Amino acid sequence: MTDPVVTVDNLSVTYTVGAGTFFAVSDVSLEIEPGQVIGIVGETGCGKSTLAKAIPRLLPEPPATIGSGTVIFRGTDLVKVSKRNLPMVRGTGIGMIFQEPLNSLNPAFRVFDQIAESIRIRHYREMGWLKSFQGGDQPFDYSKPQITTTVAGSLSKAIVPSGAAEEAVHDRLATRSQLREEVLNYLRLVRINDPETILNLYPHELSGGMRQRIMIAMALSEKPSLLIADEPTSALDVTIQAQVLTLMKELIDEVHAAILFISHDLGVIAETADEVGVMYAGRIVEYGPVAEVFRDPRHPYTKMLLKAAPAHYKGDGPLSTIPGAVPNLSRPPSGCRFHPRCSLAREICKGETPPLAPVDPTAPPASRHIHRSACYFKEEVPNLP
Amino acid sequence: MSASPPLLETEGLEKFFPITRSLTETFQGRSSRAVHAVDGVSLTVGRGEALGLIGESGSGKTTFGWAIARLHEPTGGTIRFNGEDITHLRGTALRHWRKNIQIVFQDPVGSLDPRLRVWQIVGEPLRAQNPIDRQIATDQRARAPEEYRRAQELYRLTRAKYDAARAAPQAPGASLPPEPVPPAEPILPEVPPRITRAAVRAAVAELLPTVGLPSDCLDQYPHEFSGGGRQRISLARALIVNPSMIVLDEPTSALDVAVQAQILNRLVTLQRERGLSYVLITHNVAAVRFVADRVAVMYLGRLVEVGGVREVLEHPVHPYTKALLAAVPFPDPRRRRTRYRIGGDIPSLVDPKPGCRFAARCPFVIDRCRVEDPPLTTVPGLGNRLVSCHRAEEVKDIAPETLLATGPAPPAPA
Repeated sequence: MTDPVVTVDNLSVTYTVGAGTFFAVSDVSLEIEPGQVIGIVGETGCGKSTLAKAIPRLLPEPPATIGSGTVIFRGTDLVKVSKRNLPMVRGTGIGMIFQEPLNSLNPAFRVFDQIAESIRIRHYREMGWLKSFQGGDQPFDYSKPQITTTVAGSLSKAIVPSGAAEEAVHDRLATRSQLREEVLNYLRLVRINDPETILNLYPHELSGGMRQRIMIAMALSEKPSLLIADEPTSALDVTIQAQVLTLMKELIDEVHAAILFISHDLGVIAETADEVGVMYAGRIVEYGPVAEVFRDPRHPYTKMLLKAAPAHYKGDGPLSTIPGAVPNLSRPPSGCRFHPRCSLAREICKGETPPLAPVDPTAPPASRHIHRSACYFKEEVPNLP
Repeated sequence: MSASPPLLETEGLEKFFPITRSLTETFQGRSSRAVHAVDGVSLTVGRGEALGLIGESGSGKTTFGWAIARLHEPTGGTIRFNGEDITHLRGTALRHWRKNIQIVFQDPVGSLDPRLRVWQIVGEPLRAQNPIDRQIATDQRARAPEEYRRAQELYRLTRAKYDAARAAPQAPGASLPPEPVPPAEPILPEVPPRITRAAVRAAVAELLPTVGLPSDCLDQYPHEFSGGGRQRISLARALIVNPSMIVLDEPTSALDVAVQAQILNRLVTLQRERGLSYVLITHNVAAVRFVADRVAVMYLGRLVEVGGVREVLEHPVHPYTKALLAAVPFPDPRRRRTRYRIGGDIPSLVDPKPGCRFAARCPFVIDRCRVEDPPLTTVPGLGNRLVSCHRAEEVKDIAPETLLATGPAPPAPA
């Protein structure tokens, strides 16, 4: 087993807004290995986007506060990096793909300039002209050969088969035409037809699917070892969504990046992810290989959520729904946060928070990649109607 | 065909948006090019029927919904409601007619005024319709004496003619014209009273429980509700004038799965209780399967397939319907990879080329498709299903899943 790309331990994020404190993410632990696709699924307001932005420290602080926990990426705890040093961390290994590609692209710049910007910055870092940050007080130096011997280093190797990697680093971006060539390579990587024309267009001239491909190209151009995709296909039509999902699946093999895939769409997660975490009211309530979680859910919430999907509707009668409403995260329910809406709830659920424990009692409790559920009565869940 | 006309019938409905390049063009009202958003759509919706309209964004389904609710002025074709041509209704007549079709918009945040309270939002259609009702009643009262006088005059003349005919000697076999009847005293319609604030509040409070909102939230603002709650307010606003048809424009696409299920259940219950007709515009195939009786698939302003919901969704004929259904992600990991994608993007709607609109992305394209528009006709052996495809008979039995191998490859790197 290889080293994980990123390890999140007991991460908690709160928002302080006006008089209230919102517990958006509570005690979330995750481990993502190279080449893995981890899906996070949950309803609006369950904290999944907050989690996605907390990992690369993209949350505005304040109002957000990372209360506790660690995010270990390349041996550095990102939570402890000071605000001043954050620019040195940004763009050095975690790429983001956002939901709304039109809002994430700058309308005033052509496609070429937007992709070239991140390539240029990566180039400056590789040349040592721009300070980077790697652990403690040591600047992260891409040009040092020993970096490539570590896992993190091998992940940051050139992913574009341009042959440019063999050339001396400082020659690569000497001219604009070379930069252009590199941008073109990334556009081809995301399967854009006729990249020479696309280069000179503005974002508003592109279709939604094309914009999302540009976003993916931008995220990949910094050679990330972790891609965080926050609802990347929610704004797209189904046929275009299918294209983008297929593209992302193909890219996983080509760029060796791990992907954290956030979505509210159970279908999209079932299609793409290897492992899935189901979030409810800021906590991961169930985690495990996607086939096991979808076929044999062991948390009442997962079970009810899957049943409520109209795609599962067969025959007659109304769709099944979840009674009650999503709790207000400024006053989360005590104990298990799902207990007010749960038909299995008993006294213990109100008092104590159930741990995320393996479904199979014989499994080693330390493993993070097995089917686990945060419910005291997980054996009874399959008997629920 | 039944004797009574269908509730809503469109014939060759067109909505073109002109693209004006200069101020001269704008003022002269002519333009060389136009976006063909809805291009010749003929559909019927029966009383109490739910029609699902599916398609990708840019297929013209929302424009169609707005056009039948007369929020867009159609540029061609006709819309008949209850057999009456309403394509170009104007003024008071249009405003009076509006209570027949109401619309629930897609975005529950943008379609509710943040500065109005719930009772004001939901009661607004009542307060808008009241003066129109009053004006129509007043006009009728004003017109009635004159009309009565004219009818009486006509009666006097016909009566005189009739009496003369009776008095004259009769030819054998000739029958008398029917005896004229004196006109009835006009019934003057009551002018409804100006609607009061209390009446609006009472009406709203009575309606709210039917959409699943507590009736004591009259004085709250939209921002105090969740997405599902706001969509319920929208639905209540549509229901308050007792329409016979509601256009639902993506009612659940902004909602989570569990809330979506609640709203869909509510829609079905309301339809059963009130005998409403729905036009459900959505890209959510699962929602259509649950709510609709019939489904129409749109692509680039044209209908490609119309039929019963079970038949179309389980046995799609048109290649585009197949592609659309195959692309829908299904929440079951066992079914992954049994899908195919159609390459390419949705082509432009600006002055589309002749021929089938789907030809550029279709895996079964033949030369004929690029030249000749396929008509929307029945396919032998498929009942009353309408499909617009030249090769419908050849492709009708190909299952969407088997298209995996024959689907066009992704655009190759240059």
